[in-house]
Amino acid sequence: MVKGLVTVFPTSIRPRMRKINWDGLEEIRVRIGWPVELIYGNHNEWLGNYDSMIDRQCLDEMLNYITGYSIYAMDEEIKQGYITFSGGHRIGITGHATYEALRDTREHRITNIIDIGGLNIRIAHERKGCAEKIVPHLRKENSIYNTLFFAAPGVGKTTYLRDTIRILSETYKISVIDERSEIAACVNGKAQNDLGKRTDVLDACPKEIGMKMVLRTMSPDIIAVDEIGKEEEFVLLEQMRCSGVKILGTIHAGDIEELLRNPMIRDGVRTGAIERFVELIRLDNGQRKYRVFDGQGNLLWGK
Amino acid sequence: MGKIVGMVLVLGGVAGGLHSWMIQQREKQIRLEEVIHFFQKTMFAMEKEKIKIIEYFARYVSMDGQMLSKKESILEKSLHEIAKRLAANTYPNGQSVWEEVFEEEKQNWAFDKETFGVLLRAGNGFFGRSREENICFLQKSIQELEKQQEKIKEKDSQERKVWIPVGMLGAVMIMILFM
Repeated sequence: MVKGLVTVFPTSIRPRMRKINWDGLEEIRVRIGWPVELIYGNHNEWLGNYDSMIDRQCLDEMLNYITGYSIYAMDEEIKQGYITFSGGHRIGITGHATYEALRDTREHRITNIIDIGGLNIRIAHERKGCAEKIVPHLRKENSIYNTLFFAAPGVGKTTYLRDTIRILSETYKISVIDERSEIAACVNGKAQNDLGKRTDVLDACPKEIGMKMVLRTMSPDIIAVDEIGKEEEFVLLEQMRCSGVKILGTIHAGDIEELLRNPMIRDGVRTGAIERFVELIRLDNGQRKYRVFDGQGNLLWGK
Repeated sequence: MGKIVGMVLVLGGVAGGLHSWMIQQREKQIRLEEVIHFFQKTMFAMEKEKIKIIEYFARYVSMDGQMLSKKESILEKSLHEIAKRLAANTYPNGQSVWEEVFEEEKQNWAFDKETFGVLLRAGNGFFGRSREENICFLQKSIQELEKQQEKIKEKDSQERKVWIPVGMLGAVMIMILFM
């Protein structure tokens, strides 16, 4: 599935892309004026030299392949700065952002990203079994603790969340709100990643809408979401707690202290909407280690 | 007896030739109409949803194609071929595939140079950067094709006015010669 990514690259560099080492590859960065950069767990490599630099035409060609020659249909995703590619690979976009001010607020809204100058292909990894040691620490009597996985970007929160869902779906009915299509990586309604046999996926739906929808219609035991961060999402966590549904989610944070400084997290812990935290750390050799904390930040498991 | 057979053959040949010419002209118009329908449908679809071009082309089924004598729509065939080539991810842009496939079918389209030029350029209405750009281009292509359609109809009726009497007259002349 990962090697299929070769076909999103310009035909001129595909022969080189076919020869690279795909094992352990985490990100591929493409920037105008530079060769392609390959980022592995513990080192990076450049594809070729100054003779194989990416230019505007290469990037336009890639965008055509990524969007299935339908760039216009991806305008909403481009505005948000990313496109999710078949297989759950997320392609981040940088370029010249145009924006407009929202009326009566100090906020702005991105209206487009033009002159796209860089792409970051984050390769989705399905690592079955990676969360097996974590899951026992999330279980309680007949249920689980409301849990958030946290780490810096690119460490593997979604990968661990995905495997946790897969394991827990043996026991529970799980509804996944896959706003960015990264957890299940649905293509034509079928999940490309294994989320277990009792998991239902609401694909490409905003979390704040999707959580309410599945609560009413799918009677889930657990709702799983990726990248919680907005205030209204934390309010929804509290509503879910009152409805008897458990939550699995991910959030960006460098360490437990940083996480607990977030007032919305503190509120969530106080009300019981968040009960456990799982920290993921990338070691120098590219391996991951994980630690489980309770809501107060006390270490329960791990070093 | 020989004369009668000869006359029947001549008359049949002339009538058959005229009939086949009229069918060809009619089919040319159906093909043009079919393209206009397709562009209109696409514009409507683009306004309502974000269609993925490859899937959209691959699934296209022509209703107008049923009216053709060979029961095969060149548009349908061309769109399926474009979808196939696009899916291989080897062309840097969609417009080049559109042009390539339509050029390959040029003989079958049998359009005049001007109409075919509009058809070739119309590919830009599917591969633009924004929905507005695509719709605008398709709209312009439809207008141009409708103009061409009018011209073709006018030309056809003029040609018909000439060729049918000429054909009939020619047949009568040959019959007189036989007699």
